[in-house]
Amino acid sequence: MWSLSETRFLIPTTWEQAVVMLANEPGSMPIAGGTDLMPNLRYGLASPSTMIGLTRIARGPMSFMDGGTLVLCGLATMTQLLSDPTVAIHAPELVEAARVLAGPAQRNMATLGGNIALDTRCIWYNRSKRERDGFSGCLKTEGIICRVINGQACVAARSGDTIAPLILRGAVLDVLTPEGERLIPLANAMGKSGLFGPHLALPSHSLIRCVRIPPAPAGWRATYIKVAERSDIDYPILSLAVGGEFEGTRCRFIRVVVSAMMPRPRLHEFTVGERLTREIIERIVQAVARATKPLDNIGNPVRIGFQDWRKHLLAVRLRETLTSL
Amino acid sequence: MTNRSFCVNGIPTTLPVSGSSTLLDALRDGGLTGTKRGCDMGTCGACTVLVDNVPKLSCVTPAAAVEGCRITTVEGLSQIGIGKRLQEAFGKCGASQCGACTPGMLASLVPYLEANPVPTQEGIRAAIGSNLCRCTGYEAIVASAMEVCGVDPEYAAPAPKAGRVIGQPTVKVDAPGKADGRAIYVEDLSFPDQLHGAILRSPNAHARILSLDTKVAQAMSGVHLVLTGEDFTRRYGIFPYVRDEFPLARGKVRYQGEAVAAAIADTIDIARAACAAIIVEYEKLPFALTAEEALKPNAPIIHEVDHRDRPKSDNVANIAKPIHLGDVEGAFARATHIVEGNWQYGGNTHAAIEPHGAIGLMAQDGRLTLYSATQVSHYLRREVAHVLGIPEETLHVIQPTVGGGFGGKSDLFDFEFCAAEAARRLGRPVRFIVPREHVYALHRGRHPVHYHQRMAVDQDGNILAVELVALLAGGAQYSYGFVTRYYVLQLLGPMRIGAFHGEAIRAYTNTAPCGPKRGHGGPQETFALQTALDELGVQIGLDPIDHRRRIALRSGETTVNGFTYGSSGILECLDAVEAASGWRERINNLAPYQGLGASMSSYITGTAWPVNPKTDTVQTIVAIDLLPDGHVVIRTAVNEIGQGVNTVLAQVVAETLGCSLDLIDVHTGDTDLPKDAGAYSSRLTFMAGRAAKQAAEKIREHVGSGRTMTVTGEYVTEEIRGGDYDGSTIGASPAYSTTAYVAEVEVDPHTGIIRVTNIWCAHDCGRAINPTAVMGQIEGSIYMTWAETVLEHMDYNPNTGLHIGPNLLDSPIPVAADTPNIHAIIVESLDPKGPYGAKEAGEGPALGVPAAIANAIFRATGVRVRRVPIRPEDMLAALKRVAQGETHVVIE
Repeated sequence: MWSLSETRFLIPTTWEQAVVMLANEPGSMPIAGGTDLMPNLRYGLASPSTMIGLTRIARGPMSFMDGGTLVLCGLATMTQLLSDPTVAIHAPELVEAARVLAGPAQRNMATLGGNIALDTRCIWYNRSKRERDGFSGCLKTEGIICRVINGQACVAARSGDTIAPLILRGAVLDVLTPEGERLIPLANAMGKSGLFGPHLALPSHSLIRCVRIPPAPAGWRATYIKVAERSDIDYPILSLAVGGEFEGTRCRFIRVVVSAMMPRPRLHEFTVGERLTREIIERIVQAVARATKPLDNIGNPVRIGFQDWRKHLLAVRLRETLTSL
Repeated sequence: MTNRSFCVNGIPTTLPVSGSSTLLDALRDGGLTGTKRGCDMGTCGACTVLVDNVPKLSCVTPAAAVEGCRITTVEGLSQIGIGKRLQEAFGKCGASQCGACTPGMLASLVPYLEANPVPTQEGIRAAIGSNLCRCTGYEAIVASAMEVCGVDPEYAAPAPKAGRVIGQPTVKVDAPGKADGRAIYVEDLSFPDQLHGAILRSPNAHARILSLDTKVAQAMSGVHLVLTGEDFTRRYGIFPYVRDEFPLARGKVRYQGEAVAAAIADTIDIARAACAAIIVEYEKLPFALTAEEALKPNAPIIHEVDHRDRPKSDNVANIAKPIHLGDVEGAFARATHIVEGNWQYGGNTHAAIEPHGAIGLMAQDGRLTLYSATQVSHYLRREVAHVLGIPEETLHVIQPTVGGGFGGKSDLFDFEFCAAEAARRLGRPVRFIVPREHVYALHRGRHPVHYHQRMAVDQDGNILAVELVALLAGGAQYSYGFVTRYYVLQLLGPMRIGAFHGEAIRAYTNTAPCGPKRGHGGPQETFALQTALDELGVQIGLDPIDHRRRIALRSGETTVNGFTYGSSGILECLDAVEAASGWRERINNLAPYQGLGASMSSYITGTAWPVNPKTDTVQTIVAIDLLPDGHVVIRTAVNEIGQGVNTVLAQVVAETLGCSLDLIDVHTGDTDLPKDAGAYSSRLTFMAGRAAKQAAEKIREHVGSGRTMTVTGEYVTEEIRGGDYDGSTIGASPAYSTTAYVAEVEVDPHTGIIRVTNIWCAHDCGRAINPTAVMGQIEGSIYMTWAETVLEHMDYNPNTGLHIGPNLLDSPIPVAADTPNIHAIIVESLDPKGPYGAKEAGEGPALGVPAAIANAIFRATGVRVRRVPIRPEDMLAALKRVAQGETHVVIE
């Protein structure tokens, strides 16, 4: 639709080569599946002078077990995650997220690393230059104020479907930088601001080479719930990962991750220590709902009551999920 | 540019690729234009190709990233497994209408069906989840996928045979080319030496243009021309007697997206850069987004002068003269039951998968040719000639294959004038391909309408009187508003109504101009009428279908406003949906929060009067050439937009001549061919069909004689089955279709989410000349207004005046998995005036869907929905009120 600014396109064949290119090429940007990045480039939200295409990097298996830890290649596509028996056994909640992410063609392209590094989204941000001219941009683009909160913080939402289940599982990013490898817990990489650049708190010129998912505790049951306007294509208006450790009917603890509401996904932990009764579920639901404040940055601002409904939906879906765990 | 190698459709291929080239651009620039550009944002799926046999979106795939890969496009799909058989099945089942989604759809389906040789409905719908179709409602696509795998598609068999060719399910003449990538759409055309145009559009909803500086843009290397409002001094309009639009804004802009300037350059990138270099100084003005705001006494004035330069002091665009038929007040006094209230129908847009586009071309003989994805070639020629100040006959408009219209390409657009003018000035071909975002500014979609309605019935449910007062938000221009103001009042059939009062005001608003969308005013009015009727029926205790039978108009009967049914199949339609939906057994045994709802509607078969009654009295001319070798050539300017008119004409002629379809060639969509008014108002089967039949009858006896002959037939407005009052010519038609509907819904009481699970629709189209195409038209109509009811919108931010998201993510259209099962049933009540008894199928079945859904929601929840689109948050709030014991809960 809108012209892409002219770039060079480099195709590294190793991870090491890729990070060196990133470091050495000023204004360079990595691209994997491209399903989110390319539209943003068309909107002029970034204009890299060099693109580093990652999809030709020689890599090992898409998944393997390192002791009890499931290791996933950052370049694994959603479709690959869906058909991988190891992932199905060790991270079914992630498989569920991959299953409902966008549509089938997007899943054939979108990568795990790309989905984690997905730029935050907002109705004021994901707009063409012409449209932004109509409202003088926002904090994240040409403007000086956040249009959602009329303030100085960017509240664009974290919209990657895989993030909530990965945080639920305490996933750790294996990040390659020009200086070497770093292990960074995913939850720590989530910036508080929705601004581009700091939206993922990773070292500069780094790439998500692998995602390490520690073993789930015995008796772990978990799932992922996405709500979107359509069954395919859309980003979530609600992204929810729910898990718990069970011993027979006794629930030791519940963890809930709420995403797609704010820049930083929110992890809630509840020690239970008994059967997950309706009363306990209600307490968890109310606590999570109380802490969640959907903003007018996702969805149609003309829909009065939509954000309250989003919050209500969170409570309903969480209640249903906890009841069926 | 670097040369990079690919294996494209089995052939090693080198394509020049830059770092920012997408795979889509590389393929198309390399001559493989079968792969379509729908959105360029990875959202619509039209560009899907196979990369190493995996479906991927080529518009968001950097070409360099897939160097060395095996790329399979629609042109090469026939070489892969079931590819060829699937392409044929698409034709057989009618899975391609406009064809714009077909290449991507096939690319997604082929590997899926190879891996899943016994597919399920759900599996197929999931497999095409990234591919949006706007024509079919997905039914025929799913059916063709199942058919090719030998799985029973559970697809209702088309109508019984009627003739040798007429009434036979027929593969559309253009279906093969749409399934293998040969069909040429406007963007697929390419000319040596061509230039590229881009349009600078207003970022503001309402603003004065203080200054416009094009100097920098004009000086840019590669820029050939910059056009501004000063370059066009004449206004245009679809109705030549109310020309009110300039191709490029002069003095002020009245809606976001209004064209301000155009740049023509060597490449599209330079043209866009030139647009960005144009400096426009705006003074933002207050804006009015709704009809209510626009009609307030202190509202900002949107047009300071009218189309004749007379000063204008309000925002009234059009007023329908009050229609007063019968003793309305007396009827209300007599009534046993009355319902009164406010109804709202939100605006929405066509969202054809192919965006608009046009190419201007100056021939050596000084004749100007304009290729455009238009539904109205002749009107386009008339207005471009007028604006450019050239004789009409020196302009030649050619319509290539059109990738979806639905009314969205039946007006005249800024870029068409710019393409023609630039080609004329520069003497070189100039192409304008509209970016998806700009389609929302061209718009001309469904009007937001607010009604105040009163309806009165007697104790038997007979409608004594209806009173409708309508308020339309027209957007910033006149467009088709001239007729829309009456359409929202006058489509009153097939109901017997004692007396009627109607008024309508269409206001100018600072939004993209509204116009005709499938059913033009009918869905809004039918929603109000058929939900009010349902309320009254419930009050009386009548079964909704029985109630409608009681008041249904039969053949020969006349509506309160004078529409006379040459044929009416409404009783058969009601019987059919009642039986197919299991209504009798189910209506009193529904599960909690499940509902069935009924409605009925009636639509026109073309407008009796063309847009310019002075000059257009002959609405259609069809010429037929009989060639010595027995071939028959049909020539007429009708616009084939995927609805299947070319096939209908071929069938009518083959039937009449007694010859085989294979002997017939159809040439259409060109103003050098015998005249036709265009593809709108569901007119072509009836009008062009009659002209074709008349022509064919003239040479029937000469078939096989070895002679060369040319004959013509025509359709001229003659007897009109309409009323006699001011405005009665609008909506008056030579024939009327009728339709009955049943919708099934499930409402989630915890979330308010409404799921429409099944829609049954029986449509009386007269003779179904091509039952396959008729089924497709019914399904597509149902899909379109279902989507308007539960999902789609054309909303503007009240604080900025800007569209809330002019793209297919923020303004979603449905995916296959969410689309209800659509059960189309053909009913044939032959109209004595129609060709072989045919009426229409393209628009009528769209009208009653929102009402059927709203009525089903009432059965499911007790909540009356008087506002479309229906939002889950509103549903949930209403359900809470019901739970608190409120008895008459209305969403209005």
